Amino acid sequence: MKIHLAKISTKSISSIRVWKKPRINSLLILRITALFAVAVMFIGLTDRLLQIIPVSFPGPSTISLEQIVHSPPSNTGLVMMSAGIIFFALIPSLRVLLGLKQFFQKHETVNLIVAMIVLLELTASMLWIFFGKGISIG
Amino acid sequence: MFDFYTDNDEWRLARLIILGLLATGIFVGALSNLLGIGGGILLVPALTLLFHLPIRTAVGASLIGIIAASAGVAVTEKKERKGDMRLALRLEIATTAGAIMGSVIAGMVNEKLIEIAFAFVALFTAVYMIYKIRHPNHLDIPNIASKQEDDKGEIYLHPDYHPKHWFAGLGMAGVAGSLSGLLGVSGGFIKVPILYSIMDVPFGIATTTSSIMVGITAAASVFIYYARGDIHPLVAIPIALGVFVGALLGNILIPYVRIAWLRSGLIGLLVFQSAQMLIKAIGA
Repeated sequence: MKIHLAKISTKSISSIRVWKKPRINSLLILRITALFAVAVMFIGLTDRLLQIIPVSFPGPSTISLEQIVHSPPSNTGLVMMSAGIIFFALIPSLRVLLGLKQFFQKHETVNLIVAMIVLLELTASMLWIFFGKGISIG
Repeated sequence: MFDFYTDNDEWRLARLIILGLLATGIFVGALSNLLGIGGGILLVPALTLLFHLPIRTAVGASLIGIIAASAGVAVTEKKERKGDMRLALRLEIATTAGAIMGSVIAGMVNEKLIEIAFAFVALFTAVYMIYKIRHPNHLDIPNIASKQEDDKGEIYLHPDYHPKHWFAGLGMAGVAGSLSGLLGVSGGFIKVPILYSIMDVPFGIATTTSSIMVGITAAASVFIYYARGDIHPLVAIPIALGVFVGALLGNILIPYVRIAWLRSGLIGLLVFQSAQMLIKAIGA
């Protein structure tokens, strides 16, 4: 009887381990973000190609963040293409951010500072979108 | 071959060009995965010489293509092929700064100058590839150091090698970043020799670490090109989608192709592209 109870006890401990909160995999996050960005760009491009409107090639430039937010519905294709490019360009920054998180959890101070400097540089380059010259919808 | 199109009828032709761009992206993406190159060295000449696009538009599209190749590799990445993130980030301090500087300079200098610089960089890459073929024992055997598995189930490379000459390495990494921002190339042809020859990092780790760096460097430049209006979605997106699919395809093709033949073909292509770019820039 004692042996039987011991078996039940072991089983219950292992079942607790199974139900432990799953850890977030960095690679999975990167994969999902990459596929999401690809999907947004693909939908935007398809929308643009299906419109029978005169347009020049290489076509309009990407639009500013403000125009992405306040763009009319007729311009959905260009909005999605521009947003997709921004998402895509953010993937490497996300990679650095995930690295930074791991260095923080492992208390690797030097690597944490290094990752923060790189992230700061990337953020500085992103600021060009806000302070760069205005771009009109082509 | 192609020029700017404005009419309705020609818009149909523009759609065909978009398909052409997609095909170019798939070809370059597959090659970049098979040969471990960033792809920019092929994309920029293809866009300027075949599609007659301005070089800054080509560079903008190429940078998006490099991120796509990097993302495509990340999607199919095998854990045992992971590079040294810590080493990559340390060098990225200089590379990212260089890339920002290069992209700003690209907006100021004459396009002809960029074309001439690109021609020389393509030629240098061809010479570097010839060197790699002639020294297979030193450069082509992956020499991955011992690995350790951390508590997240991801493999990290144990630092049982000690990178040397940090200042020289950081300086050269800055140069690689500047060229990346200026010319839309990944700069792997500089980063790998820096890591391997100057910093004494095993070759296997040097190549995988360089592939981590490539995407981060390109991302630093992309936003500056975006703000300047040098990224045209109708060019950049077919290229990005093509490269992404091509990178996945390259992973499937690895067992069926002879890398040595591809590499030899690429050297010939690079020399040809270099000559064409030089002729275009000089206007001969």
